[in-house]
Parts: sequence; C-alpha cells; structure tokens
Amino acid sequence: MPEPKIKQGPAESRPGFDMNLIVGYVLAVGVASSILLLTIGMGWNWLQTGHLVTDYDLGHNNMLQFVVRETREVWHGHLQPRVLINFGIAVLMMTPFARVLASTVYFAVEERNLKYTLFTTFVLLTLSYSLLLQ
Amino acid sequence: MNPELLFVISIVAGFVGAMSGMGGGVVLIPALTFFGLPIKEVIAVSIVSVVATSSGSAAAYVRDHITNLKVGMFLEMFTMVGAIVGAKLSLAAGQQFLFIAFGLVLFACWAALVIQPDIEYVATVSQDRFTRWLELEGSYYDYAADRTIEYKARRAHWGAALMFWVGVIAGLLGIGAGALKVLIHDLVMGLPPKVSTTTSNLIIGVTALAGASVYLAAGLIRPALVAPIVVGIVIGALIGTRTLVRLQNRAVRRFFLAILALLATEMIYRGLKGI
Repeated sequence: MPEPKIKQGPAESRPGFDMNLIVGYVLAVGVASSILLLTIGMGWNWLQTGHLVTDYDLGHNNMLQFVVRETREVWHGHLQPRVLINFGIAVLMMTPFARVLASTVYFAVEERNLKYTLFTTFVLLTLSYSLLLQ
Repeated sequence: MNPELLFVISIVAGFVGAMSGMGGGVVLIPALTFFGLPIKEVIAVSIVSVVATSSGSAAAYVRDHITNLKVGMFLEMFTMVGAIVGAKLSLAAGQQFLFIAFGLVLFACWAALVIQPDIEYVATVSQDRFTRWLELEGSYYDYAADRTIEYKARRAHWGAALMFWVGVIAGLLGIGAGALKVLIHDLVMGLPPKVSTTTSNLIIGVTALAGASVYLAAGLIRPALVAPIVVGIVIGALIGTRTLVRLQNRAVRRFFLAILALLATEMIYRGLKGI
C-alpha cells in the first residue's frame, strides 16, 4: 500500500500574506462578535423582561434587506435588546460571506490564479443570489 | 417554547453533537420537534446554528494550515447550489416526509461515522488529469508525527457530483452533514483524514448560509429561537470538544453514537405514524 509522502520538519513559511490566517481570523472574529452580541442582547432583555428573548417576527425580508436594516439600526445608535440580537444574527450570516470575499480577493490579487478567482467569484455570486432570494 | 429551556436543550445538543462527531443539528431537530415545535422552523434555526458551529471550528483549523482552501473552494460551488435546491424542496415538502428523510439521513451519517475510523488512508499515486488541473494537492504539518505530510487528491469530478447531493441534504434538513462530506473526501477523493475533516468544516459554513437565506426569505427564522439556540449550541460544542480531547475513548463515542441511532429510529417512527 502506498504511503503518504513525508518530509521532516515544520511546513515552510510562505512569503506575502497568509490566506489561512486571514480566513481563520475572519471566521473567528465573525462568530465571536455574533455570540457576544446575542449574549448581550439576551442578557439585556432578561434584565428588562425576566426572559432571555421576546418572541417577534422578522417578516419576509431577503437576507440582504435584513442585514442592511439591522446594520442601519446599530449605525444610528438605536440600541435595544432586539436590535443587538438581530444584528448578532446578521453578523453571523455575513461571516461565511466575508470569508468567501476575502478568498476571492486573495486568489485575484495575491495568487493571481484565474481558475480559482473564477471559482470563488462563482461562489460569491451564488451566495449573493441566495441573499437576494425573496 | 420557553427560551431558557431552549437554551438548556441547545447546550445538551451541542455537547452530544460534538461528542458523537455529528454536529448539534442532528440532536436539536429531534429534541425540539419532540417539544412540539414545527419541523420547518426547527430546520431553519438549526441551519443558522450550523453556520456558527462550523465557522467557529473552521477558524481554528484554517489557522493551523490543515484545511485545503482549494478543495474547499471547488467543492462548495456544488454544495452551495445543492443547499439552495434542498431548502426550496424543504419548504414545499410535507412534515411527514421531512421526519422520515431526517431519520434516514441520520442513519446514513451514523453509519458513516461508525465505519470512518476503520477506513485506511490510501495516498494518491497518480492523479487524474482533471484533479491535477484543479491543483488539488497540498501539505500540512502533523504535530503528533513532527513532520510535514504531502498529499494529492483524486476523482474531483465524482467528489463534486456527490457533494451537490450532500448540499441538497444539508439544505433540506438544516444539518451540516459533515459525516457524509468527510466520507466523500476520504473514500472518493483520497484526502488524509485530518484534511478531510477540517476542509469539510469550511464548506459547511457557506453551504448553511445559502440554505439559511432561503429560510429567512420564507419568514421561518425567528430570533426568539435563533438567539438562545445559537449561543447554547456553541457553548455545548465547546464543552463537548474539550471533554472529547480529555477522554479519547472509543466506548464513549459509541455511547453517543447509540443515542443518535435511537433518535434516527424515533424520527422515522414519528414520520410513519403521522408525527
């Protein structure tokens, strides 16, 4: 049975920026921020009402409308538990999107790999389409 | 349903999901439907929680340079389209169908996890032309073995076709279906186990987002469910992952896999008897 090819010592470090680190940080910061926002939102709601969260409907928006609406609420300083919770969900939803966007830029600018620039662009366009689904 | 109870159930689901290696969604859906929540709402909230758990664990693995970004980028083109199709099918499907489909898929994931430890890694000797064209190869530093392992993938065309269907399953049922993805990476594409697991995590996040968008547009995502469930499942998964590292016992994993087999049986039974 063929064995995997091995060589001794740690992996060689590549010059330029490290795509793995960027993708890793985008994902880690996105998820951590989202969990923090949801936790603060629920904690605040609990202090106000005695329950972690109050039931309400998001309506029939597409994902993009939802994200833009909640970002605008936070931008204008309309802070309340519901806004923090919604914004936490929006940040979570945008995390994989930001990761794909970063990958597209990397393959196009840093690696100049046409094939993978096209692949990541396709993923980005399909994701954007899904965000606009009504 | 009481949000505090939801929070506790989600911690348990995240814990059992991590201990069994199947992810929290497969525990969450049977548990919440058992408490009377409509299955489509539960699927919608589960797919949002999948974004959180998969992106969280992918973040750590990517930084360790184990994940193969090119394999992930290539395959997620197919899983993502599949997830949109699957989520649309779910909206049109009847509840009974979803219960039975969930039970059957859970059994398939369960079987994949049971056989996975016995799969021997077979390194690719000669790569097919298409996979070579896709540049699907790489290397990672194995800390346990203290060496860099180089590998080449194979049969990317089959991997892509199968991944589309795994995407359909993920979108249809609101789960990550990581066990099935890993099986395809291992058996069809010849990726080393560590690479297949970590790359699968990366793909799951984007796949779940595509599906979640469909559910949000349908008005099925309720913040009152999402907030406690996402936070709870992430906490449960963190506890589960840390516990698993300490235990490293196959008997423990078998116990949690047995729980999942019971859940699968229960979902099929409820589907057949009309919920």
